[in-house]
Amino acid sequence: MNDTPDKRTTDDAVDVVDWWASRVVDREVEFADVPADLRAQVQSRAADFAAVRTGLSAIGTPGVIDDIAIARAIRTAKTAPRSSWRRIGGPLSMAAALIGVIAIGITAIGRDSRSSDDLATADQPMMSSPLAKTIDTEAPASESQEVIEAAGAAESEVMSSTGESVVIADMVELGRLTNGWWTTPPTMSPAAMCPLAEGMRRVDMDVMFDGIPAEIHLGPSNLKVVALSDCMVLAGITP
Amino acid sequence: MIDNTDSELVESAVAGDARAVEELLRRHQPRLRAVCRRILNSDADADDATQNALIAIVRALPSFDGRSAFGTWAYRIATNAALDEARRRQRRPRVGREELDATRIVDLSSDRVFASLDERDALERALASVPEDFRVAVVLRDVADLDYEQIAQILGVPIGTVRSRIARGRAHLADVLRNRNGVGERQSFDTKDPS
Repeated sequence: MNDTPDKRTTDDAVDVVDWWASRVVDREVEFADVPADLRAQVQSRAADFAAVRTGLSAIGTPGVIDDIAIARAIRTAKTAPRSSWRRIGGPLSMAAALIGVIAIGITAIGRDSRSSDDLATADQPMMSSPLAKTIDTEAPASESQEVIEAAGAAESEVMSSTGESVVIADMVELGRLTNGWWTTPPTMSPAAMCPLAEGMRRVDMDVMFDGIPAEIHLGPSNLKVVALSDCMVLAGITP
Repeated sequence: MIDNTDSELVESAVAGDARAVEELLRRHQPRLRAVCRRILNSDADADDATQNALIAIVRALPSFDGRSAFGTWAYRIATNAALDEARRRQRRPRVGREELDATRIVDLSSDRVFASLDERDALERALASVPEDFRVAVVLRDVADLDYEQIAQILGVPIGTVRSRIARGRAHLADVLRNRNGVGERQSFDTKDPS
């Protein structure tokens, strides 16, 4: 075993008996792999953990399909169609140069760099997604009138969205786009695809940053551009 | 449509088939809601988080790159929505947010059901007492039945951290339930490297 409990951090400081017992329950290791001097303790603990797992599995049984929630989600998405992508263009902004721009490993993480022209053409298929068009014009086939009415009645509870899609070639364009967000915040999204740091929210905007699908997390003192594929931070700005 | 795989449905959805979008949501919504419910320990908050997750999924479908399974991707969005909801909950006063869990509306005529409900309540209370990082890992493993690698992808942490969080979460749960049952504190073991 070369991946033993790591006790260097609080997060990973785990009791070694618990560590073995948990892996035994998940069949990551065989009981024979457990050091002989720990087996009695691990066996007892594994029985506790197995009971916990069984209990959680029982109370976690998925419930019924919520057609109203589904209809409402589709309807809400429909109000914010991603019909086109906006390019951040124009001359270099002095404002962008005035803010502190911190690029975090755009090249260090091995992303391919493409020119703005490449981006503008290569990403066209995604820019006019048939999904967005369909959602904009077509209700789901099996959506009943009752569900539609229920969704409509609850619509006021759901956050609205601008649903903008933006292609950002580089840090200068990022600075130009986000300049002013700390005085006039953009519309925020109801949910993020990558973990949000404390105090941060996802900007309701589909972003293509340096050719990489991304989302922007905005907080009171900084923002981060995060890749959707692996949640790596591509860039950050501190005003 | 119902026999199609997730990958086929995603492909159809991105190509503009609204029925495929709906079928994907119908297929995954109950599990996503179950995960949100166990992370948040509140039906109302789970409903809000699930709703936000579904909206985010529909909006983001065109950018889904297929590197992970659709289900893993959807769980990631739902987990983030639940954690975001938890943060919002911390910032707002809790007035009238505790609600009757609809799944508890059952026939209470037998002692067996009482015992079952009692155990269920105890487990839910114990789960709510587990620190958030550990609780999320345990829920993704024991409720969503995801493997360690999928959980690592969803949480954006190394697989070793996932193992540790699950072990610590289960240990917390087992200790709380053991004390409830009057078994007493578990014998304390020294932490030592098994290598």
